[in-house]
Amino acid sequence: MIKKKICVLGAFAVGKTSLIERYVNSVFSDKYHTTIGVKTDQKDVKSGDKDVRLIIWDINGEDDYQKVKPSYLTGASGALIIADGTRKDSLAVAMEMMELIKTTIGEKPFFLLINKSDLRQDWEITREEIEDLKDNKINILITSAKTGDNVEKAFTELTGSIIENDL
Amino acid sequence: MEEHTENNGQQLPSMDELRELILGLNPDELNKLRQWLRDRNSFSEEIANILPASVIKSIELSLPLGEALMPIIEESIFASVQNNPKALADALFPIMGPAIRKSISDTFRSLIESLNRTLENQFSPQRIKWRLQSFFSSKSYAEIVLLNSVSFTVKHVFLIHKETGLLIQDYSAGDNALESADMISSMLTAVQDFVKDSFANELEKDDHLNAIRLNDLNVWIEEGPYAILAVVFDGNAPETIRETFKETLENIHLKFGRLLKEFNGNSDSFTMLKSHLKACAVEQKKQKTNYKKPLIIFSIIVILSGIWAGFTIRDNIRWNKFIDQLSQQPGVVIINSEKKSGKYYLRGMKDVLAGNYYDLALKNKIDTAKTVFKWSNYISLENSFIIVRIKRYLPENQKVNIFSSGGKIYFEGEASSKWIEAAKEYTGAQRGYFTADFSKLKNSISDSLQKIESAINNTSIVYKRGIYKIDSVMAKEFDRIISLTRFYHKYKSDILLKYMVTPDSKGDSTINIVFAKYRLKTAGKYLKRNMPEIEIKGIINYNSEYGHRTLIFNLKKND
Repeated sequence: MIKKKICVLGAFAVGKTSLIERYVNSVFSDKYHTTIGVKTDQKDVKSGDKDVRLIIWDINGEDDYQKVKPSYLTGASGALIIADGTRKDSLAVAMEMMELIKTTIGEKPFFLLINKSDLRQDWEITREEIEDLKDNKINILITSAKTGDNVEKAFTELTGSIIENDL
Repeated sequence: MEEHTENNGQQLPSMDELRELILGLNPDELNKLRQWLRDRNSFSEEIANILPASVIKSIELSLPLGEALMPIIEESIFASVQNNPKALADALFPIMGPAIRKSISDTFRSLIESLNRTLENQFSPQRIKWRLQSFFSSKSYAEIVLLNSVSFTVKHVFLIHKETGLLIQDYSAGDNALESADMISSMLTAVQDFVKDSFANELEKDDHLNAIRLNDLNVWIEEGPYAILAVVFDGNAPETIRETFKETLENIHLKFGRLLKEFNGNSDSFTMLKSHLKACAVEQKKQKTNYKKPLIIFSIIVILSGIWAGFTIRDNIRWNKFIDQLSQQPGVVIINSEKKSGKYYLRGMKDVLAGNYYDLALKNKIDTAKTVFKWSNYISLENSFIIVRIKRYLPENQKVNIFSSGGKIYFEGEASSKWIEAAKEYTGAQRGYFTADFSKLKNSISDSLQKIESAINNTSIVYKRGIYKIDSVMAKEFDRIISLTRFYHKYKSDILLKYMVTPDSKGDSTINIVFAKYRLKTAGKYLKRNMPEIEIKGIINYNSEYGHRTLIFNLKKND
């Protein structure tokens, strides 16, 4: 059993906790509770022939009242950076998070998840912006914690990248 | 210089070309090699250039460079210390100082905590209880204190990768295996990070959260360079046990430091660490002292002691009562009484007339078989005993009552002179021991004497007118008087018989007086003649109340 620490970060209320809940417990709740500090979850997955235990650090959303503590990222093998498709500003925060990851843990694999695909009609982030990011070799997935769309895939692919990175 | 040789018009290769073909090195390269072999400085310089990269490469390739260099490094350190200890001390100074201070601080904190605990309980009933526990068990007081003060059980031990917060290995005591050990480890790390970040300004670089407490549940955390040891226990553990945890962490780092540093999440390589973690899973429970056996023995002892005490007290009470009663017996003097070796000893003095002590002992249920009496004879001056002795000495006289009152022995009643004499003689011999009083004792003759006296005093003889001689009738009276007086005289020798003559009141007073004188003289002669031993005295009494021509007598005792 290989254990890997991954961090999930992004702006506040983008759906970090919901994505984790969906992935770990297959549940979704409309109720919003802001995360203070960090909370952890775990999920056992299989990546190829390897059994991997993901220790998922759900880090509080970055806003004016709470800043992401870099120490939470220490030792992470990878990260999921979440943005909210309906809030353009969350993408800017996601960019900041990417920088933070690079400066804190170096060139570790990460995925940018544009969440709330179930509210596509309200999206502020455009397709062009997403394509631009893809062109910059950023791994992007469109997800929905509510519907579960691409949630499993996000974690699985990140895990794969992490294992591959180890090799 | 290239040398070419011709052979049948063909140009043969030069030596240099030949060398290059054989060795694969061009002339420049060969020259360089040559230079290295010949010039050591040049060779050293070349090695120096590639040495750092070589070391780095060795590390990347995980080659055992460290192990290979270890003997040289040890020798170098040894030589450095021998040569110039200051150099190494200066180098280590920045880390030694904080480490020493921290160690001292930890030691003092643990000492104070221990002292506080001791002081808190110093005068508590709990300490008295522990002393009793120590008394009834085979454990010393210090052991009992330790067992009661440091009751704790280690539940879980986590070894956490410091950087990632991932669980490297864990150990759970008993059936307390945790499914969420990984999450716990990561949360512990998150909490550590939170605390360090939040209080960064107040903390020193190496400070870390080292204890978390929730009621009886404690988590003690020790940090090493690459791993954190978290021990979860409930109860009160002494600070000294933290040393065990520190030592365990240090041992793990010593043996597996490189593995820890390179930990990539695969904990399979660390299964051997479980035994190290198990060493931290110590337990000290409050030993339930088995009171049953000591209590039973104690109860038996108490019961037997109670029974023995009861019998002893009963015997003592009986004995004391017996002594008390015996001492009140007349004719008994208790000198000493004691109990020795299960027997009662009594020493005293006893009058032969005293009561039977043996019966008294039996009456008080004294076990005479366990009693030793030592009596000395003595004569008691108890009045009752004196009276008994008097009665034994004197002839029996029913008419005399001998009794004591107010410290005197009284004789009351009537007894003969002889008896009285004997009594007085006896009591006189005992003078000083008691006082006898005979005032209530009458001599049986004294009544008679009193009657005689009365008879004499009441006798009056009347003369006929003109007669002064004693006729036969008168003589009888005189003789009677004489007889009575002489009898009286036997018992009362010092007496005076007075006789008085009264003159006639009729006729010539002068003649009456002459006749009175003649009568006086005649009576005197008669009396004197018949009782010469008795003093007599006659007078003429002119008081007519005594009668006329009368002779009266009066017997007087000369006291």
